[in-house]
Amino acid sequence: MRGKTKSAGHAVVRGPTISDTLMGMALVATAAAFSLPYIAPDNPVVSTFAVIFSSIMLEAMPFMLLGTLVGGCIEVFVDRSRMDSLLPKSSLASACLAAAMGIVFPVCECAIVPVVRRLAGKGLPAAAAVAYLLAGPIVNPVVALSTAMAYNFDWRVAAIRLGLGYVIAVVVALVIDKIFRDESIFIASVQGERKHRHSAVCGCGHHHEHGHDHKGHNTGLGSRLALACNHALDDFMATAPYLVVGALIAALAQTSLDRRLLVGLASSSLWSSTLMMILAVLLNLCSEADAFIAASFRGLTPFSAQMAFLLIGPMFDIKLLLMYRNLFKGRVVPLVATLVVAAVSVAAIMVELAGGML
Amino acid sequence: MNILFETVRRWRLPLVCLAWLLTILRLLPNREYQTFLSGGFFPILIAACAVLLPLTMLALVRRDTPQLGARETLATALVLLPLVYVNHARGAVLGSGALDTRYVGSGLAGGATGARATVGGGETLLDLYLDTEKFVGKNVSLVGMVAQNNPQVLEVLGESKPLLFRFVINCCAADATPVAVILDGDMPSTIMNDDWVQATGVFTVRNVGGQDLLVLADAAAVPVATPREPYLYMQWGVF
Repeated sequence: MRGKTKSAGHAVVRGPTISDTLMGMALVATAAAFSLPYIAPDNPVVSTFAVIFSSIMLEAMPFMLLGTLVGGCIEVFVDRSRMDSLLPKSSLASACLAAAMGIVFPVCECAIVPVVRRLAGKGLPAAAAVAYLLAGPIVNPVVALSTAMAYNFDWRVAAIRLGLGYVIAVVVALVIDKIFRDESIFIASVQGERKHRHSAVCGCGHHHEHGHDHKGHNTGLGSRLALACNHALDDFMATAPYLVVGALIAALAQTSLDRRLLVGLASSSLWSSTLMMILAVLLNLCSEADAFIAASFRGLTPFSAQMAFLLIGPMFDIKLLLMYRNLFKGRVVPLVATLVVAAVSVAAIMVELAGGML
Repeated sequence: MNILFETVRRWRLPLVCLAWLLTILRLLPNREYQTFLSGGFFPILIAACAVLLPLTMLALVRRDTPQLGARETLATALVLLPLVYVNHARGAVLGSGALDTRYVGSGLAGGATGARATVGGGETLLDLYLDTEKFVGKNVSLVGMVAQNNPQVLEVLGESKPLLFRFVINCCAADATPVAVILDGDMPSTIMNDDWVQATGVFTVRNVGGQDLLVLADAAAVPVATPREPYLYMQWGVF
């Protein structure tokens, strides 16, 4: 793991780089995480952590797998030129359309990253990609139903959640599009696919560079499905580690965070929305289930804080933040997170000002 | 060393897919996955297996194998890590430790009128939460875990009383919300934290310091075996 440089024909051995050190620390931390259940098998805290970590992973993994398969099918079956022709040319129109796509194609937050990754590779504009990524897990019929159920079938809560989620996603998408008008927001591997070139392995069994609608491959359905699965396998291995790290941090927070402390602080209206947003980021709940947790805070925190919790979780939590790193360039991720936090804060203030309607 | 390296490089992808496939398959019989997830996840787990099976087969026959460096080793280890914990946590349930950090008083019920926690059979702690008025003043018999010295009870009552509690799951154990009643009666001293008991008594609601507390008055408890389904699940069909 030691870096080497050549100087005047001599190999000069230098010390480990920051990257090497971080990698070494990550490997040691992973080894420690592997050994923990064997070191303290009967410890109740380890047991609680194990149940929560396993639950998050077992809940998220099927959706992520389905997302990678959908992404693989998009890669193989969706024609880039047809997608270009279907999408509106203006950023506003494409963002508005993409933010509503969850109504037709409901995708949860664990599945949406590999799907957007492949759509972006096919040339989905940045504004549309961000809008679909942020709105997809909120603006869909399953989330509307579960939110209404959690709030005693009060459909106004579901309507407010979906409406605000839609607006926030479009606004953040347009701001990102404006800031990065002249450069791509996607990481190199996604950009490589956007340029129709594969520098790495495509799953066809050989290294090559080619136009990427797979017309050069066997066009039989079986072959194309196999190719889609190969892409899914690559996406699975690329995305799953981020999901695992996010789930680890979330399980750690869930095991150690005392919610009584949070409720005590959140009883002050100034801090309630902020604290509920922090809670949503730490808990990493599924958007189909988080409304039940938010509803359980009725009487303890104001409705505006519950809405902040409902809006921010599906757009930005720890596991999503890490998974976004497999899609966006490094500096785009904190910017998206900052914009989402700012927009949700404004939305919470608006809900607070409109108080009394619920 | 080279042979070992090449073996790991060649087989790591099939190994990862196969390990996940077998782990999920192992949880399906007898609905063992309900230690972690709600019952509605059965078809979703089947779908996951349906995706993992072709991925495993493709990983086995794939001729090109990606390089193996520190980054790839770390990624492989991370993807396998949850399986160690799934195996460790099989049969374990959230107990009083999780209750202490999640229970913030009786105000934290599911709060979804119209939902049913049980279909037929005896009442559960969740039924009491969802339809409190129906059960007030009635003799009830409930199965749950016991938590001694819960800090929230100590804070509100000023004295320690045992809690009878269970966790309600909507999707998975990560969203588990506790439902609990205070046991007011002579409890056998042999009952410890996280023991499963069947408690009987008169269900009452007491207002202490402006907070409604759910109490089982004249409570008596006998130890019982861990129920087949340790958690309670919302029965609305979303999950």
